Amino acid sequence: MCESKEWVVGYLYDDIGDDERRAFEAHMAVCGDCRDELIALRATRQHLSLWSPPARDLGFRVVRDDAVAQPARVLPMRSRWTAAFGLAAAAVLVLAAATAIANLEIRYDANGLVVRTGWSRPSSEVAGVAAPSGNVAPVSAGTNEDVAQLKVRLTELERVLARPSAGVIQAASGPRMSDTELLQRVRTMLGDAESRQQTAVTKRLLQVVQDFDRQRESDMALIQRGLGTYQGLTNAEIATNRDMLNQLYRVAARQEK
Amino acid sequence: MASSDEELVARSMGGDLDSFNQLVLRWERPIYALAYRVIGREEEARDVAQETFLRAFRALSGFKGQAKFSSWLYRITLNLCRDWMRKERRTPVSQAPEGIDIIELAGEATPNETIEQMVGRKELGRAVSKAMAALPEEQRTAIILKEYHGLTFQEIADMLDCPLSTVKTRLYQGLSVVRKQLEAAGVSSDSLGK
Repeated sequence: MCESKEWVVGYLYDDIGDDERRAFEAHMAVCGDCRDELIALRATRQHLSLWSPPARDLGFRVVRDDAVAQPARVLPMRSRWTAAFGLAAAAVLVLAAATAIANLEIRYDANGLVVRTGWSRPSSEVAGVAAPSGNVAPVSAGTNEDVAQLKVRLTELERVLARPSAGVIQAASGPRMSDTELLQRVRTMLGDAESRQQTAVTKRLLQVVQDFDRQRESDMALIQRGLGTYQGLTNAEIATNRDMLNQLYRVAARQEK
Repeated sequence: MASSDEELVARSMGGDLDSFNQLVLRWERPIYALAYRVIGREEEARDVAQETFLRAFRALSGFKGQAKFSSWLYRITLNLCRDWMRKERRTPVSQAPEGIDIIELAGEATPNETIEQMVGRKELGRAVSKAMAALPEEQRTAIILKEYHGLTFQEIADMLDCPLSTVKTRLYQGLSVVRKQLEAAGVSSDSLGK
């Protein structure tokens, strides 16, 4: 083969200047190898034309950011519920722990409202504090101190409660999923759902076919039985009628005698 | 009358999203076909095609119009395909199924074609796909751009950043290898039913 492959390719795809084309045609007139090469490559090109990508429904469309939901910023419903329940559970736990630590006691009785914190048992003075007269709320020096402590603890509690909620918000906007990953995930989920659906449909079809067969067999058996019964009944009736006739003949014959 | 790519690009640059979506509609199939032929996988080719348009949209302001819009898209697609192959450390595959799906085949049937001819055509396509998958990336890309997308040698050379003569050599070598592969697989010019 002569060194003219660029010519061959250019001529093959008709991507060649007029001068080159004429020169190559002149060359081919005397070069059998190049002629054969060109014919073989043309056949290869025809073969190549048979390779086509599978038909797919693409339907791409670019939309602005504000027109689409931003998946990275929206938690799935399950996660949101999980986060809410987690937050509520944490709040209850913290509250319970704080109450236990503070040994909070709230009592309202004839002595009025008593709020007590701390582990010390109520002194008889405190317990005995009562409104000396009238409707003045019974407040002792010790109770004031307890209320102040309680306020401090409540403030602490609020701080503690505020912390986990900030964590949840961070988590919610935490790991962002790329569009490709999200699409891949959605596609996988769709594929799974489709295959599950196909399996379910196949099972259902199989069930229907089996049910139909069973029902048909059962119906056939019933018909068979019915026919048999009918036939049995008919034979029995015929036998009875014959017996009756014979009886009548016999009676009639006796009377004739 | 349909707007040209250049007109649609200009309008898209001015913020007209519908114009860009017209370009997407016009080029999504060729871009998907290019990605599919380069990496040989349906799903991944779809992802690459989608990513191509997203990148093009984001980088539209940087498109200066030195090359055709389609060439620019092709370049983005090829870069994404290369990234994918590098990342996955994969070579292209021939993803054609082993069996022949008669229903699918019937949908693709051309008039006056017998079942035997249809099946033969399908099998030939599969053989071509396998032969192409065996080619080095440069040769395969050159053949795909020339054969299936009709780019000129110069456009391919610009896109692949290589001399014109290199493109022709890659094409010639690639076609020769495909020819030999097909012959080894028992495919000859007679197989085309001529």
